[in-house]
Amino acid sequence: MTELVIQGALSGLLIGGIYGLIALGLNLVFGTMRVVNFAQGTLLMVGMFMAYWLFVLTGLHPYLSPLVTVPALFALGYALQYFLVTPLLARERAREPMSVLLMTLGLALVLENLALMLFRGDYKTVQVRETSAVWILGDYIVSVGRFWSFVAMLGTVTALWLFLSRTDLGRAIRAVGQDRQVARLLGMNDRVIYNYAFGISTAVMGIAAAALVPFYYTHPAVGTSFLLKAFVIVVLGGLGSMPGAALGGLAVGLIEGVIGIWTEAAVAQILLFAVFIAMLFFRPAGLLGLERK
Amino acid sequence: MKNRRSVLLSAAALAGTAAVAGRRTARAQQEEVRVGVLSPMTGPAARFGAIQQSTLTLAAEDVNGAGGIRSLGGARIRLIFGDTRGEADMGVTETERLITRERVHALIGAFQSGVGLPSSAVAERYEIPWLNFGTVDRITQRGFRYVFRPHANDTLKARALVEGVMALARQRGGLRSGVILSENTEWGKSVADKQKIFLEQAGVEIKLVEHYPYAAPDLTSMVVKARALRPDLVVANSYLGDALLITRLMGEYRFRPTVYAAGGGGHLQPDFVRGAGALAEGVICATIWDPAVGRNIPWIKEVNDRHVARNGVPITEDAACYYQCFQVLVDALERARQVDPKKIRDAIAATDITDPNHRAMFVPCTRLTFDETGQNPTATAMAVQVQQGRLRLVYPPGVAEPDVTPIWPYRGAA
Amino acid sequence: MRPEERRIALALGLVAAVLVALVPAAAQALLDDHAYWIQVHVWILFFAMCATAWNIIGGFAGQYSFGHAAFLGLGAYTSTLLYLNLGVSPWIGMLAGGTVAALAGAVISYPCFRLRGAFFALATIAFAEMLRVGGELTDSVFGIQINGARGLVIPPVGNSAWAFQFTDKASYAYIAYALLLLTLAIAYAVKRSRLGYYLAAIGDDEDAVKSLGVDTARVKLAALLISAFLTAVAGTFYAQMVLFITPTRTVSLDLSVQMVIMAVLGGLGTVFGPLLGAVILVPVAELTRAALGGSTIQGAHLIVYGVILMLVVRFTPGGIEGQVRRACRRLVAWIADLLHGPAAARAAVVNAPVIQLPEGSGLGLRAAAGEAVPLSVENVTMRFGGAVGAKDVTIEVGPGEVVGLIGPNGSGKTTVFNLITGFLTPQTGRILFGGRPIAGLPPHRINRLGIARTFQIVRPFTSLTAAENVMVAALPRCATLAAARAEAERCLAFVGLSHRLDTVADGLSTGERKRLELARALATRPRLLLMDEVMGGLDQRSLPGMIELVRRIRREGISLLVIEHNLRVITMVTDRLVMLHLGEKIRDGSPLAVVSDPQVVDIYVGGTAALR
Repeated sequence: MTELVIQGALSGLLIGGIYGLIALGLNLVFGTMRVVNFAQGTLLMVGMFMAYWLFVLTGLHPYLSPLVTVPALFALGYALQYFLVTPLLARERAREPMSVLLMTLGLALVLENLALMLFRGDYKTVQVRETSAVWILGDYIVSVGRFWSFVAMLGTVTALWLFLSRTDLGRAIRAVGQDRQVARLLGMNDRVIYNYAFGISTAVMGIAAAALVPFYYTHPAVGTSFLLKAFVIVVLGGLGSMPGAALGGLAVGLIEGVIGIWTEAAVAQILLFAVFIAMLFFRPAGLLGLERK
Repeated sequence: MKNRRSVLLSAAALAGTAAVAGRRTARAQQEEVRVGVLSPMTGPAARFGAIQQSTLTLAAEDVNGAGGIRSLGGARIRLIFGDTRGEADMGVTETERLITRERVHALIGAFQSGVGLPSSAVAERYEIPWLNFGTVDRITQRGFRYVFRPHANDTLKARALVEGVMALARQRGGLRSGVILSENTEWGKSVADKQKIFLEQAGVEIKLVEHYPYAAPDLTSMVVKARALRPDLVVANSYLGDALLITRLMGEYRFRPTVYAAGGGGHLQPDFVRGAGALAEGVICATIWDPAVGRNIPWIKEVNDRHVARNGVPITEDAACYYQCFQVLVDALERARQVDPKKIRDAIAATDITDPNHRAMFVPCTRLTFDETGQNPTATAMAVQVQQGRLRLVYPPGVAEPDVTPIWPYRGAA
Repeated sequence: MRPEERRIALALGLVAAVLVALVPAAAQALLDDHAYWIQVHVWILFFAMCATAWNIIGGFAGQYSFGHAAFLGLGAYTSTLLYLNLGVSPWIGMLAGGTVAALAGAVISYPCFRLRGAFFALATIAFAEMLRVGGELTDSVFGIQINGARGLVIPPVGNSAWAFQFTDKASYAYIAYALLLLTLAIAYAVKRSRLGYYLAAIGDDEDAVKSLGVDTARVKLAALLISAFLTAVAGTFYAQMVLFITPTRTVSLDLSVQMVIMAVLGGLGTVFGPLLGAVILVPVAELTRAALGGSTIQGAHLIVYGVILMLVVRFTPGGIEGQVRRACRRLVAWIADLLHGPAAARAAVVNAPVIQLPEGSGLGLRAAAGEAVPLSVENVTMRFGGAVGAKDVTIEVGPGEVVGLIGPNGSGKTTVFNLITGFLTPQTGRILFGGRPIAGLPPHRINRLGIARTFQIVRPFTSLTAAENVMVAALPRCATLAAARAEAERCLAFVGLSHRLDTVADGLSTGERKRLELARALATRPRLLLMDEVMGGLDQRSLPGMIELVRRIRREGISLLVIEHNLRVITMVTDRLVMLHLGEKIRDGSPLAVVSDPQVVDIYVGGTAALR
């Protein structure tokens, strides 16, 4: 049994890397900028289709797809913020305007069904070396694809953390996220900063997509199952905290992995939501929250 | 004050739509037979709906091209599709629309049993014949008069799978223990119950039955847990995404039971066979129909070949059943000699086909009749195995492809 | 609106209501395919019912629940289980379902109501998802078969009013129509009741409502219970119409989201907005699905749906109710002109002079609130993590005394206010009001004891009129709405805003907002009033008027604690000054003595260096 739990924990941690990666993107827009983005999962789906088609059409290994998808998604995210979200923020005073939530909900609906229209409802998969490869460490088995996604998450969280704390743009993003009115008074162009933040957040989905495509399936509805989990993780890890999102992702993966061994996957799901509510209630700042109430 | 104006507005909107509707019905013609088809055209199961639609379109073109319904003076058949989105209430609304607005004479539907259950009740209420695809037993066990199922239900399908696996196992050392991994909606629950009963009757100890949420992003724990039980047999009842996940995880964790069987669903899809690659090799799957049936019956092969030529993909199990439902309807129309739904219903109930070359035998059985519940009692299922990226028929002996040797045991990627 | 316009509107409304009621009958008589159209009609009514019920908590109070399908599912399951197991009529089960849902609402309200905005929304999603997954997983509860994900089938029994089943669609339409009218009537009653005023104010600024003596948690709970009950009633209706329920569908996020979308599209917080939303979106969904759903272009109709949602959010933020209402108003005015000739030119709006306080005897606060009592803040300390908000602060305010609180930015003045009014609980020390310890009591309780406050950054309820703003404060102490309105008018007259009674607060100037906030605080009948920079941000012209107003409040005989930056002004109105610096009290004495103290001057002029 112990062996089993350890194996469950191990694989949970690895899939937690993927969760963390997606949560990192959401954390930038939602945690830091407070843009309640319900289209985050759908943007992941867009990234996955890009990586898939790059592989099918040009043979580009999904791990190299970020070379193309990250700039493309950045541009997409920048444009989405510019055309859809900014006009709403300009007119609302609340820190997390609900109109933004509704707008991104509409966007998710449009993008998902656009994908369905263009690519039909097929479950698309690729076969690369990493698809089913594993490393065997004694009694335990490590999936290569999941391992690399874990590494990608570690790289991304480090990069984002350095970016937010060490660069001017990163600091500006945090300042605008804290209070966009004050930031504007201080002479920052808050709109452009929002655009960058949304763009970067979407670009991160390109990395998550690259990590997922080799061992997962691509389907118009694929992002939806990750979306709620990402929100849970962002709150769990702490709004705006990049290490928090990474740790939150790992924690969620771990909980799923271990609980799934003891009982059933569905029970783990219920438990996660319970933890989420308890967290909001008792420690709204999250595990590594930057903000105090 | 606002109140009444809003109500006024809604009334105006409704009056408008109603006027449009009134004009539409004036078009209704007598020289066509309208058949309503309920399928999931959008949502997670959209892929299935698409093939159901293309298969039926082919069937209707064949019938119309050959002169329509002869006993009705060559009446053409018009298919009218309704999108259920895979949801019960949408199915009910669309059924209502097809019956009352499009004034269909018969209905075929609805793929998901959860949609078929309430939608067929609507058809029953309007006394419109409902030719069902959807394998859940209780669809035909409600005492309805207008609901018919020419193909196998879950019980027959589960029995065919267990019998097939056990027959193959008998010559190869037998199976002692098994686990059942099943998605947690209507179909998965219903079919897993039956499989468990039949397997236990066959002397297989079931060590675990787990129902998982099919949209779960990860199922590693379940697979790891099942592997630790070291079962001889794994039975999975999955949709597509989860079928791929489970199979790939089994591969990664070197989980190779003697037999990897599946109740149908996702494991039968071309996307699964392609996506799971070598890991799909040797998976034994229950199915009501497979294109390989055409290896023994030329006209079935011809229909399927034309579908492949036009749409790039072979006919699927569910689409074949839609095809069979359609042909049962055509047969009944010829005998009914009129389009009164009540008369069509009586003609369907009186169906008795034994000719294996009759188009309604697209899904083969010994004798196509309907018992008092509307179920075809001789309907059966078969077992296919993935071999070199193709589904090959391995059971029952009469239908099995003669040149196929079953892969035994399941080898995974090795 | 003129009386004749009122009559015309009423007549038009009645005609419309009757017309809608006749739609099923008319469709049946005129259309061969009536059942489909009646079915669409029923879906409109059903979703209108859900969205209206949602709006009572979601729109009225601004608490966006994304989990209302949970209540729908509870209603559907309760009535269905009662019917299947005990043969209880769904009509009775409907009430039972409503009760179960309201109980569930009470349970989840405890954790959820502490959360705001998006976090509240996420928490409600989490609860609904727990219920859905749990429902899918569970085959029986206490021996009652609920069938997990397989769901429950209600066997058709033909026409039976007892079993809530009908073979013709029109019956469902009439029932849905009746239920919708009931739901609308309840929503209307809530909106026009004291509950409605509180909810609207909470939607604008919950903390400000708390400071006015309103127990916001109870108010929100009441709204949630009503909302949950009505949603569950709709759930029973759904179950009886589809005759098949599963957790996967009835508790789906999709359904919850649809309720929100319809209410938002129609107009949040309005009584009839959600109905409008349903009237537009349901036919759009139905028609696009009928037109495009069967085509080979998969998903096209959902794209249309998404685009409409985005356009509405982008271009008509308040929902379409406002536009529709204005259009209807024009129509009514046009008919009235046609029937009665053009209306007389409207009386020109009189622009009151900037400062003009009406003469009068005042508010009689002392008689109303009772004798003023002393406030003592004793050795109170409040730390935020590493930062100190207040450190060992002791402040006395005697009965009828006016005490000024000064200090540079960040010296802890507002923290002290928050501690006294219950928005913060001190870590050490005591706060006594009339000898009674009040530290740790919730803000609304402290207000009821007789302490009112204003906020440094004015927080009027921007969507309410000036009179309604003050009514929210007066209501807890008034028996009727009319009494509260009269009280509001008196208070507004006292602060010189009589000419702004029915102006929406969003349209008031900064000075007017400050006065409004004072009127609101006074309407709670305080014995002690805490004023946080009521002079701040005023121009020179407005200052004398405000000083005069503060003096008049003082003449009412209540105690005042005043935060002010303008030292010249504060010495004019106070009896004593307390100086705070870095959270500590450093001076306490007569105004002149304090402001002429060189150290105080240093702190104000030279920053913090002088203190060291």
